[in-house]
Amino acid sequence: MFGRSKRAKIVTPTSNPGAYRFGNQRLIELRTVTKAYETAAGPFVALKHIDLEVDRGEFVAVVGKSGSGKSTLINMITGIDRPSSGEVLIGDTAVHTLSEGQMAVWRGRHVGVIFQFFQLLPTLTVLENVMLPMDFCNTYPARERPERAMALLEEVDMVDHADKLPSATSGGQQQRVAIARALANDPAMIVADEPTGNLDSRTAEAVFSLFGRLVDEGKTVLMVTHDDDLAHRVSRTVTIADGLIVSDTGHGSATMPQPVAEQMAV
Amino acid sequence: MLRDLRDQKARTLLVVLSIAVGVFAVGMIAGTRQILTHQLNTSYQSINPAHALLGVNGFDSDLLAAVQRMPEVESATARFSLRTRASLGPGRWLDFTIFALPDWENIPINIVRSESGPWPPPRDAVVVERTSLPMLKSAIGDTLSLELPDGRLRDVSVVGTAHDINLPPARFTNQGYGYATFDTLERWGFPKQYTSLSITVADPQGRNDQEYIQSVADLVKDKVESSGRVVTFTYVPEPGKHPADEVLAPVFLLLGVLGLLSLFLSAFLVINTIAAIMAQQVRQIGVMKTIGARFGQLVTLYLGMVLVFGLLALLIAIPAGLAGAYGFTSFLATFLNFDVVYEGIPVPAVGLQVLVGLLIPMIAALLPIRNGARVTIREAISSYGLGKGRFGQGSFDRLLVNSQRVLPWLSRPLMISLRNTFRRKGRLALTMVTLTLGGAIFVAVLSVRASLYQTVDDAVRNNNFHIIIGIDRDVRTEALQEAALQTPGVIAAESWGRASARRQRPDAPADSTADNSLPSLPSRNGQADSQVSTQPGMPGGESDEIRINAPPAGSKMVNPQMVAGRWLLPEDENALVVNTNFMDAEKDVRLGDTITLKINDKESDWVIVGVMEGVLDQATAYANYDYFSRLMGRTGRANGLRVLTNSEDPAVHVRVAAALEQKFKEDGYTVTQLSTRAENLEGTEYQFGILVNLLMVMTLLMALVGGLGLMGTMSINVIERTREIGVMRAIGAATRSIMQIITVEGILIGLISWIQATILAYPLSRLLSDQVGLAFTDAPLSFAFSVQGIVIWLAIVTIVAALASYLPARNASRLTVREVLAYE
Repeated sequence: MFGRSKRAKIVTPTSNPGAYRFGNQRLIELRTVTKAYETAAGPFVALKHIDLEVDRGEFVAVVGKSGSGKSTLINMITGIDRPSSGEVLIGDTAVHTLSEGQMAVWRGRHVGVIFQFFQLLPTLTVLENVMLPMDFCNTYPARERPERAMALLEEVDMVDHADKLPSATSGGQQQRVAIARALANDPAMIVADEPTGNLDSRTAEAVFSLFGRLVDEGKTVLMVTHDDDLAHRVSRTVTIADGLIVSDTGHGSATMPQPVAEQMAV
Repeated sequence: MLRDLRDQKARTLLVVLSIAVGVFAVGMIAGTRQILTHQLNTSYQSINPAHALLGVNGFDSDLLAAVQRMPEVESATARFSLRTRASLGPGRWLDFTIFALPDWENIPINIVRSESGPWPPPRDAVVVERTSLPMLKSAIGDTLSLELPDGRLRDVSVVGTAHDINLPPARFTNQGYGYATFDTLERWGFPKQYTSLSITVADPQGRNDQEYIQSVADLVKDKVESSGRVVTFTYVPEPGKHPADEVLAPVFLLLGVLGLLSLFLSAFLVINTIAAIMAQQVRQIGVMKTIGARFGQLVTLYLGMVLVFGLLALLIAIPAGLAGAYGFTSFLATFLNFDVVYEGIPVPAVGLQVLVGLLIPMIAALLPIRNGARVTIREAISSYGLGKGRFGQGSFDRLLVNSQRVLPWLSRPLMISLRNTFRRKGRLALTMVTLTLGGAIFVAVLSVRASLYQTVDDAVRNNNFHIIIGIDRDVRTEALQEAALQTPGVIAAESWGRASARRQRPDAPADSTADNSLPSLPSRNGQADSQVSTQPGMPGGESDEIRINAPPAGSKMVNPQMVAGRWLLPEDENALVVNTNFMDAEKDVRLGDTITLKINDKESDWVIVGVMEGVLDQATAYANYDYFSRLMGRTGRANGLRVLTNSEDPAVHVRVAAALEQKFKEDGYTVTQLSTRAENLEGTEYQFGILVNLLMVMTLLMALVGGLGLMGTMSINVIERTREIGVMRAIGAATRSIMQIITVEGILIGLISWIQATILAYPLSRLLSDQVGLAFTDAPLSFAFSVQGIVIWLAIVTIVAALASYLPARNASRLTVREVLAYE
């Protein structure tokens, strides 16, 4: 479905384990992370002393029941939320120490975030939506941005819709644009919160395949999902219950035995 | 619902402030009107104002007693007035009128109240009317140097102040007033006699009947004239009303219109905010409908919320309006020479505030509440994601989308600002109306200001001279002009004939004692005031006073703007050019008519050959000097000059005037009149300044409403787009980018409103300028459009827009992504 890819254009830095600034060996390291919220009924602990390591090129599914803490875990990694205690180290960055403004810039450059409801800006065209992260982070020269955005849209097979407003495209198409947008600044890590939750099964499958391809290119993909089928087709599945990691299957294989895209082509 | 109001403090404050501003404006204006009208009239009645005033050429206590005995007269009193000049320093003078009273302890009519110092003043001392003290640059205990009409100088001590509500503030008339006893005046050589007579009528029924009072005044006039004295004027003011009442009515009309307009704009803000609240409440409405809430119940619920907003607004608007009303009244009172005392809450004004404060928001909120409550359960619970505002459906939206091709240099964040501006078109329209009207009124007020000064300039342009100087006797014109031209700075000097005349209307009997015209001299004190009202005269009888100016043929010092006919030719004899003020006063006169004028008790016929524009002027007629001086028996002689200097600088005029005075004194003349153009216009400009200031206060209120409206709109926009802001944060937007997107949107709205305001400002300026002119000068003002106002409004609207969007932008940039994405 997403054929004619020009993967060569998406530059992915090589893995460099053990070389990170804070002594972290992996791209993502969570050290004894606890997150508690104050609620009217008293403090609610969403994450309890979580330790997690994810390396480059891993495709990790985070699964768990509603309210188990999986979204909170993802929010710790993207810097969308900060821990009550513990450390979140992503590459050379101690994310938990950044201010909200610094966090936004860091996130724009290093993390591609994909939401369940796509969240494209309704007043910008598809192409403009993809260019926006480059504008915010000033990562590519202005004249190169349209070309790069078109390449990304081609990657997700949305070139023909480049000048449309998001409201003129379907849910699946919007999610593909959202993926292209997440790749705009060529981040090492893609984090997706229920990316297929609002899509029909055929479109969900196509989106999932696209993630597989990104992993093949060396990206690290973390995906929250309710879909057991999809969860079982990734290299690693982290299961969360009541704020604790209760299982972590596939952990330890830094690289996938065979290209994920091929493995998933069932 | 109350919890919602409490939790959303910023939103609640914004709605409450929006309502409060309009209600405050209404309360302040209604309160001011009520307090001012009541207290002004109470103060005025407390001095027992005269029903009629007669100017008489000198009379004694016997005649006063005779008038007092007349059965139609309840009481009568008299005054003597003496025009002097008070020295303000080398070469600087202020006209200073001294009044002497027959009985200082018991003043039956037009009571003057001593405020400090001895009353009556001792010999060689004056009590100064309180508003004159600052004009004299003196304090109690100082010595004042007065120049008497014959040029003698006399020193008097300033021993106290008095309050005479009948006198306009000294700054208005640019002259001072004081009180001295006959003891002092007799030492200066003036016999004990009076020059004005005030009466009240005896018949209680007739006290409020102007016609009846006029008939009594005529009887008194007959009585005075039968004693051999000449009555120079009779004046019957509108019974029971302070003379400023006439001026205040249009002021309040204008302020009232602006007050209602701010209320109207406040209502727009309420519509916007309630619509946004209803949009936010959509899910809650859906839930309430799911559990059985009916449309009527929901409407009642949200109207209840608006009622609470109204009540909260009243908590601010009533005390603020009350303070504003007393403050504003005190401000106005300083121009009317009376004191404001706190008399409690003006109940009708506060009642009006309560009414509009509760009713207007409810009416304004009705439509958004109805629309909000109509939402179906399915619509209410199915909304998710981004995209509120349905952008992209209209052709204008498509144009905006395509604008990227035309404006490729526009960055995406700026493009977002541009397109966001037009997302909520209804809200944008209401915000625009508020800001546009605010801007247009701002420019219109500044245009009125420019027009007022243009009018003054036009008035000046009619007379191309800088100084008027008068002396105590007739002298050969050549000698006078030569003396003036020897003074440094003088480049031209002309002797003009001057006189006062009254037109003998066609069916009037030759004997003016049968006069039954309505006298209308506006002077309230019986002083020899040359100013005459321009109220239309009735056919028959004598006209009001008409000023005759007789410049030499070919004069360079008169620059008439002709409306009809022609200017005077050197060969003209009994030809007259009259101004439009004359034509307004004598409505039956046409160009080419022959009219009869009574000048110095002598009648003569004149043909009207031209009509010139009269700007800020009294009824005036121009004649050729040669014919006029021959008619007056003063051929080749004059007692005054018009002088043109080599500079337009008022300071130079003052210096030249002082030098002229010195020169004339050295030549043995006594200067009886000396004034510069700037001095003559000072009072007028001061009055105009007050009017402009009043209008500016209201304009700033409008700017405040506009600013609040924009802030409300931007806050609502930010609240509605919180999720979008979170998404932008999630994809790398720094704080600065978020603030820029929102601030630029606010400034864009401001700039678009500015363009609209500029277009609307011209007709509005014209309308306001005409109406102000008609209300205050009986003619439209000379119109001048304030381009400066447009530039200033651009600066204001940009700053207001930046400030109004700064707070919402800052709040938005402070939201954490988690908060934002958890929003709703």
